[in-house]
Amino acid sequence: MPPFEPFSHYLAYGATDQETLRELRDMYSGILVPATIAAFQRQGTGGFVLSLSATEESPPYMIDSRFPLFQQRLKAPKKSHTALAELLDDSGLVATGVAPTPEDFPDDRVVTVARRWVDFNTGYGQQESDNFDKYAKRLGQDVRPDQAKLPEAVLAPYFACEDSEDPWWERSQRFFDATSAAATELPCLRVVCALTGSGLDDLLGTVNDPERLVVWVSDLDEHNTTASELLDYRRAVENAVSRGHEPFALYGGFFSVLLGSAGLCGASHGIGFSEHRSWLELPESGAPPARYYLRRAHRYVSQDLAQVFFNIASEITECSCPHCDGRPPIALDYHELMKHSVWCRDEEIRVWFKTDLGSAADALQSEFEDLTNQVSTARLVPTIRTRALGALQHLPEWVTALKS
Amino acid sequence: MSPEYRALMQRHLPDPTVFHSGEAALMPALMEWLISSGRVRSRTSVVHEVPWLGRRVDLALLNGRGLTTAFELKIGRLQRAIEQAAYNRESFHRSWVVTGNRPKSEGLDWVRELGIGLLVVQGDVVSTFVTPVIREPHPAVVRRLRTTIETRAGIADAAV
Repeated sequence: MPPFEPFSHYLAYGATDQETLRELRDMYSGILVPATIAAFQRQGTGGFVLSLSATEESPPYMIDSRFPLFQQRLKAPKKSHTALAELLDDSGLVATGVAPTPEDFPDDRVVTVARRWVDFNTGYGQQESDNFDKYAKRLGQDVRPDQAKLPEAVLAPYFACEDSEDPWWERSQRFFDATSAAATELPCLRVVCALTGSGLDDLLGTVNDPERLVVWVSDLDEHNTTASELLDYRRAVENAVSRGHEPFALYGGFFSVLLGSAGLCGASHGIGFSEHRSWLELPESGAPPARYYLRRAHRYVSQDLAQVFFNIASEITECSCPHCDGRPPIALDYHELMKHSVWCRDEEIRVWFKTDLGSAADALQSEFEDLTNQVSTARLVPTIRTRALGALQHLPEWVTALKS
Repeated sequence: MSPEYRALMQRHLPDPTVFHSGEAALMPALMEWLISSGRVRSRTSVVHEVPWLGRRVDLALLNGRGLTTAFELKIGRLQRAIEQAAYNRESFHRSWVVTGNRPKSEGLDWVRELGIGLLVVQGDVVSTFVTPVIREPHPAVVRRLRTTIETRAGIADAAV
């Protein structure tokens, strides 16, 4: 499903997640491929993504440039960072000395990088298909390289910006214009990365014509932020929709699913993690931790804590997914945890995304009270009780943000 | 001191000076107690700092009969060690807290209620305050845990 058919559910590709992506093809809409991985593990990523795109389900995919990587000083650049810079024919993008400034990205450099980026997207599959047969075999389907699809769209390179006065925004807009001009074969999408929800609102206010666009509020951790921040994000989405835009979230968890009824078209996240991300942390990478998705609280918790909830009352962790198979949370291994999480998000989308915000708030308030009561009345070691209650504290913040 | 005792100490605690500060200082006396009391034998896998469910268990044993035991060491703040031991009892057959101080009554009550064991180490003396209840964790967890301990023990033995 393309990213703008509500509510589209994209998964960020990671090399450790191939099993989940392969086996749960009907549980997500598309794949978001980080350009760092696409550049560094070029044949492996290409072989996997392209063979998957050649299947009957043919999940669409897009490649995220991860460009704010090059907006900061990279003290210890990884091979994937230099591989991406080399792919863009601009090794100077890796700034190990001082942090770059907007002046370091004059028009000619922006245009050159944009052209190279579009070439990479439109040529994806020509240089990356050496491993196609290997991954096609794992899929267990008769797929051929000529059935592989191009990316759904080219995501223009972008910078993280505070607001519309931020000089990086003008450079970001230039990147979009240059990429749009170069992308004649594929649609081009603007990526708007803001530091706050109110900043996003301000940035989107400068995009005049209605667009399908990708939004990202850096480090907006739905589970550890205030109702006020969440409300700012909601307002930014609502205002964008009222101006005719169709926003898709580059990162998002369950709160983003709820914003589906406010007009958010979809969201992407990593398998088992990465429902939010700070642009400053883009240089860091790694596999998702083994955590359990607690459906009733709509969040990941440690397996230890999930087991505490199970011991309080097994219905708290009750799950009808085939990966849990009626077992307690602690019994799930790593890949089962990952598949359970994807299954849960798919279920959440099916059940919740059309729910109006007021009704969603009421349901979450009721869930919060019920869970809090169960934890408060259970006989628990005090530090465990504190931890269990702490895992529910995002719910009243969400309720406030949805009801305001 | 039997040759077997010396061999086991050499194998599982080759350099006791590594364990000199904080709760690690409890380790030499604990290991001596485990070996002298027959809880660690030649077929027992012994692993320090085992990564498990996103945290680290201070000491894990896997005996020849497949039974697993966890130890959480703590000098102060017994509550935190009890919390860790409470988590461990969901995966291990036996779960212990090892501390350097005599526990207050509240801590002792929690230890007894949860069925975890409590050892107090003072100098070279190890005193058993509470013996843990043997539990039967979920089979899938036991399988994964055994593999984790065996793998780590294999790596540790290879390093020696």
